[in-house]
Amino acid sequence: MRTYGRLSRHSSSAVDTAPSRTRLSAADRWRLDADPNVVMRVKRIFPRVASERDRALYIGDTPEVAFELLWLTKRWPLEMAASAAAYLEARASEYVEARDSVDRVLAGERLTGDGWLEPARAPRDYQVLAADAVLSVGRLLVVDELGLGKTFTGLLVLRSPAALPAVVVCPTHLQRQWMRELALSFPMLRGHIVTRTAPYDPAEVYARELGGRNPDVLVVPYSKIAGWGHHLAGAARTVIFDEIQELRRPQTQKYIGSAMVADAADYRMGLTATPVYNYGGEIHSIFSILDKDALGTREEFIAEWGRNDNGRVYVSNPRALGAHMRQERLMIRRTRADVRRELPEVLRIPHTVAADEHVIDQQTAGTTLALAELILSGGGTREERFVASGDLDAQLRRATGLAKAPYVADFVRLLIESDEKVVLFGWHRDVYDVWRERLADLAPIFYTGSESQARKEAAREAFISDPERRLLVMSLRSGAGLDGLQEVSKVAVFGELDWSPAQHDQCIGRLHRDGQDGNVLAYFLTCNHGSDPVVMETLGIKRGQAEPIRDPDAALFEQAAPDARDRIRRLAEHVRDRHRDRGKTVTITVGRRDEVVPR
Amino acid sequence: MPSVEQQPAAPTALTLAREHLDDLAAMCGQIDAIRVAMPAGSDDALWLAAIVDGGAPDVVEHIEQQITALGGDVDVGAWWRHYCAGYQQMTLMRQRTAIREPAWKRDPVEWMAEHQLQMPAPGPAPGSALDQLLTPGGILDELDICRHDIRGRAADRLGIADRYRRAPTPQEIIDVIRAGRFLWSNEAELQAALAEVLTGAGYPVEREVRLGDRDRIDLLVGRVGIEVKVAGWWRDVERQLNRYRESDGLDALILVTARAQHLRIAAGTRDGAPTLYVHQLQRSGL
Repeated sequence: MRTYGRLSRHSSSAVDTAPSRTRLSAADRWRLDADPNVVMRVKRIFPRVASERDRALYIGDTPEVAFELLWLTKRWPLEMAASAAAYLEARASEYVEARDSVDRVLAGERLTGDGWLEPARAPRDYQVLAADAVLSVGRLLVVDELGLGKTFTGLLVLRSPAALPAVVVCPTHLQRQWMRELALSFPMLRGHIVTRTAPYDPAEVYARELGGRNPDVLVVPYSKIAGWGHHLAGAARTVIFDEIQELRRPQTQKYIGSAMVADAADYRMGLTATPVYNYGGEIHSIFSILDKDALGTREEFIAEWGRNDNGRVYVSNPRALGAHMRQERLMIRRTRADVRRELPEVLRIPHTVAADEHVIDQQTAGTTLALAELILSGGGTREERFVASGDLDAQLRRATGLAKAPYVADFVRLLIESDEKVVLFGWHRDVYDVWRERLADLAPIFYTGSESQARKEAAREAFISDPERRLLVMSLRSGAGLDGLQEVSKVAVFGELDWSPAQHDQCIGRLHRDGQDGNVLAYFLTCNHGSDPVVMETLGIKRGQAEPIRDPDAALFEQAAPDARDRIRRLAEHVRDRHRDRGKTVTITVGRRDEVVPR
Repeated sequence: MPSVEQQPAAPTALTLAREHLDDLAAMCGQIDAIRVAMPAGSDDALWLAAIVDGGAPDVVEHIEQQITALGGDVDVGAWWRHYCAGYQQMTLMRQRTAIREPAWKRDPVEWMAEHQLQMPAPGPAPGSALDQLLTPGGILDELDICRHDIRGRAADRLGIADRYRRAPTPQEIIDVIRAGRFLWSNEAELQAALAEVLTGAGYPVEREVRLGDRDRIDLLVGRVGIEVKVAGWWRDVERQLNRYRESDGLDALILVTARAQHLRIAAGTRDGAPTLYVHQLQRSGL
């Protein structure tokens, strides 16, 4: 039989096996030496192949690649050593078996066996399905919509005795929630939250609480996982990463620690509603924690899916990447509609408010120009430019927030006058101060970075139970997972913008969750000065990266909801009429009609 | 003074239309399209005007027959023809059709014959009710309803969309673009989405239209050009737009951009050149 070249296994000592930014994948690569016409075709079929100066093509050895190479050898028969051919076959069957077993689960087969635990509360089908998919194939990224009970979904993996002991890595504010849910779902399992950054033996240090036994589930916050990586590697059979987007930066210590634990575990699960916070390349970082092979090495991923622009990896076709990840059963996503737990939709209402340009000029006089010039000139060290970027961002965003603050406060007053309880999101303390002063008569409640945990809890309580306290000011990045606000409010106002659309979604999710019976209204108050136009530009790009990966069917255009288009105008009319009824005359100015977009 | 008893007014096209709205709509086969397009609470008669204004002769004929059958004696076709006459036929026909030609200043009779369009006869005196409805700045405009949308849909239903869609103004185009969120990961995707949205609004959209030897504009709606950008230094973009503005084929030019930096490009009019509008897609990420 005619052959078209030679396929061989190639181990390179230069390839680093430890988790690092550049090399996450197995040390082994396939090497292909072939006729030029075949090389040309192969490059098209495998966009990730690397062409090196020895004129051979190289590609990382993963089960999926083996499966495709096997197909390639049928199209163009290649010479192969017997051992390489056997290995290729075995590796390809690994792929087929994994795919088939997860397909059976997705088709409705439920896993069970001797010694499996029965959860103390009934799970929903879709929750068991995701857990079983993890148990059948070893890893899965679950990107279910907010509020579908991801914690319980994760815990269901622990039904299998082979999955214990387990480690849950989560943000600090969710540690207790995991313990609570564990106690509710599997009261027979013991959990423990690690209390120190350096590893210790929980059975010994917490002998009284744990009865001298090691915990079945160890909850480790991301802030402590770096120190625990070595200790837990090999000890944990399952590792669950909650809000896995925390691991979007591969160069961090917490990433390396997490990778150590994950690499040695049998079952790896990632949970998040917002896998991509900024740019599409983050999906490679987080997925490589769960399966270092599936998307190839970072270089292969970039060659196949994206482009690198100053360290930011953009995905050229995020929709295709999302479809690929679903098809390969790497990722699963269910929306509320999919599981028939719909809530009334969120109406997003961008509204342009005035801003005092003088405030921006005043606040940024002198220093910002110097910072901007340093960044643009490329002068100074890399670190200096990095620090300058941070400073410039902070100064300009703060100045923009301040310039809008009085107008934002007036707008919020308008909402509150029409009988609404409002959650106002911001970021800078100085901006909070302006709001506090201008809205003093409304006695706003604060839930920001400045309040202690106890005061935050009191703030939540006051907002929920006191009908007179109608304004809660929250930090854009505090209170993730906070529950209860949805019972009293359906109005979120963004007085300042975050850099990530995912963060806005998290904020809206504090009102748009189970228990909310109306449409959540999310007002984005923006201006045409300072940092807002640039932040909005970035938000558009990031949304274009994140959403199609998560939802390959995401619409290219979402039309404003016609019934809500005039909401701001109607709101103004309502307030004016009320004032007229009371015999007062007020002048209310509302900007041009703004659009509303359903989510 | 002797009192004069008021005679009941003779039925007009509009009063009849109001009374027999459903019949008319069914007759024209448009009721669904029109109802969807009309904002709640608008005057029902407006949709009739919109159909008439849609300019499709067969629609006009239907309405005319229907009104005659109902006992009215008003020649709707004449109203429509009057409308055309009153608006300088050439300009109007040019705007409401997708037919564009370099030599606009040709003999209207000849040009219309070539495109199988009928030259309108002079209609009744101005100042009629229908005239009020259809005059720019008239009731339709005051109510700010999406005329182009209704016309587009009506024409779509009749399968004559390409010939009878009216070209929108730049501001109308921008309003359509502002009314929602776009999702794109590259320029081609954004262009495709914009083309889809504008087509959906009933506009005749052409893509990749050549303006000169080296220039090709992304989208063209009537004589309004739309250039789409997701990247690029503003100076380079400005230079490119200035070249486009020298083209004879445009009345106005809209830059639809994802970049805040492009807001530095000087928009507005510049002697004789097409007016430039710069619109940043600020809401797409919110």
